[in-house]
Amino acid sequence: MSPNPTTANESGTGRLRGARPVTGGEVVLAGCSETQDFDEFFVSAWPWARKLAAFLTQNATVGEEIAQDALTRMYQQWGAADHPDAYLRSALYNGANNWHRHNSMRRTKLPLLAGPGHLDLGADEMADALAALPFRQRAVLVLRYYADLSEEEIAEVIGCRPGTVKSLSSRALARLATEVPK
Amino acid sequence: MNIDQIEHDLRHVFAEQSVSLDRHFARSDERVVDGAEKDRPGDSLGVLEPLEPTFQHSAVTDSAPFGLEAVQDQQDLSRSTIDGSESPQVAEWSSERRWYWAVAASIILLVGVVGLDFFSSRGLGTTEPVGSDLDDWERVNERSGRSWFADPNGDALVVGVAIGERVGDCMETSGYDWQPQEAQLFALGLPRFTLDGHETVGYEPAFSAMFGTSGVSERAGFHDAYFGPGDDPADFVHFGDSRSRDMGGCLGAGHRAILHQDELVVYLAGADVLGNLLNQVREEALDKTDVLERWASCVEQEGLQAKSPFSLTSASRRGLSEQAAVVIDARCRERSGLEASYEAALGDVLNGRVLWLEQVVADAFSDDLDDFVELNARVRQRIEDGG
Repeated sequence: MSPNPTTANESGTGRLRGARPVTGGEVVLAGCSETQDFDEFFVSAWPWARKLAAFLTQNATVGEEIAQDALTRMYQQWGAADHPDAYLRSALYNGANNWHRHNSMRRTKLPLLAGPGHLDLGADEMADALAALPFRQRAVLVLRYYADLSEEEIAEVIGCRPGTVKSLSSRALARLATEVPK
Repeated sequence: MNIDQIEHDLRHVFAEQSVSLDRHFARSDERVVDGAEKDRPGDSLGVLEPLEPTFQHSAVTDSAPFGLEAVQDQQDLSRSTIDGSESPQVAEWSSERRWYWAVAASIILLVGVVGLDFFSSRGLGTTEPVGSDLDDWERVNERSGRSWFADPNGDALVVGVAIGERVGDCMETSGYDWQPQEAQLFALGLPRFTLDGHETVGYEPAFSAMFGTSGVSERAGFHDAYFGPGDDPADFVHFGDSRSRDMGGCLGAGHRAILHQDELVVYLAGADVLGNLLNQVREEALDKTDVLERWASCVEQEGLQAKSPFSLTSASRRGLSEQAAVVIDARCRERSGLEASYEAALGDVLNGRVLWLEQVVADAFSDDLDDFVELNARVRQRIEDGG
């Protein structure tokens, strides 16, 4: 079930030397560690990357686009990331976060206009409650229970302290426990 | 339900959804391969694209944006697009809601100030605009904030600036050289850059502050200082059906210095609606003109690679200095008529399509906006009374 078909996280960090991945702007890469052919990386990463982004955004089409953008930028400067998998996860999170901030109303207030990419994966109460969580809380759960990342790894992905991850996760689970009927 | 059960159910949900996603992607891959669906629609207002042929507007109007017949066609198309949804009653069009877009104009100028995004680059100054079409700075302001949307009071602007100042003060106290972006440096959401301004502060900060590529927002602890560490439930303000926003740290402190907690909920709900609508409008406006392509082509010839000024950051400079990038960007903005074209396209969108969209989705957000406008008027009065 892990979205990462290779190693979960080689060294526990997705940071590039000297920079964090971003979306909306450009990825700033520094350093070079070309250990894997990009084509090979793409083939292995594409399936889980677009699914992870889809889970984060709750939208398959947007998730696919975010994954595409992230991989395109990695391709442009391939070799700069010490740990491409971890770097890609951070890029996907940032892309989803940007999208979330700019589009929350589109999702919640314009249901008439929701396109076919909107995730409608069954009337599961847990899935509904998960989708209704604040973005960071949902992201922590996705990264923990879908991507199987540790708290330290999640902290690296979303750019906060492990304690914050623990807190976000705890509150998210508590909210689900409250909102999902027994 | 205990936590162990929740964790178990979560894994189960993800496993099931993963299978569903695999099927979804497999189908979409087939469509792409077959060429049967070249441009797959996304979750955006882009689903309205089929309606575009009937979209005609050249000026602000107080009447219905479309003739009844055209509207009926659109409703029919909407019905075919949206399963089970009722179509809006466009015949009831009223000009009364135009004040929404007065507020919207303020919001798009204030989008960074109120914390919907990172804007900084203090001190770019009020130097002359770069492009020849941008000389009349007042014209842009007037059109964006007044004439188009008839915002006679500017309540939201006053409130937003007051909040932004408090956020900036807090960040400065916390040790971060961050100040809210000056609204006049943004023309309808597009950052306006000037050669003189960049000579003072460099090219990178303005972009990086907006998009977090580097600079102050990359400093350790910035996000915690700005949003709060996220470990206090009180930092998350919930509003609407299921929306929420991080309101800890200086962002929350700045808002709460101006707004009471109950007002904050109303404010965020309205700002969220407007911010997202205007963001969509901006994107549509950029898509409607080929000026971005001309700009991108121009900068590429000069050694830069970027789709738009929004993405022109250090990675795209290919080793060029900031100042070199400034000059190229400025030159290409002038050659392509970037901002003038953007402004015109945005006006077209606002004057027509958005008015229609607003009617289409009015029921979905009118309450939020009614409350938002009333709140800003009241809070502005309180600010001016020194309260």
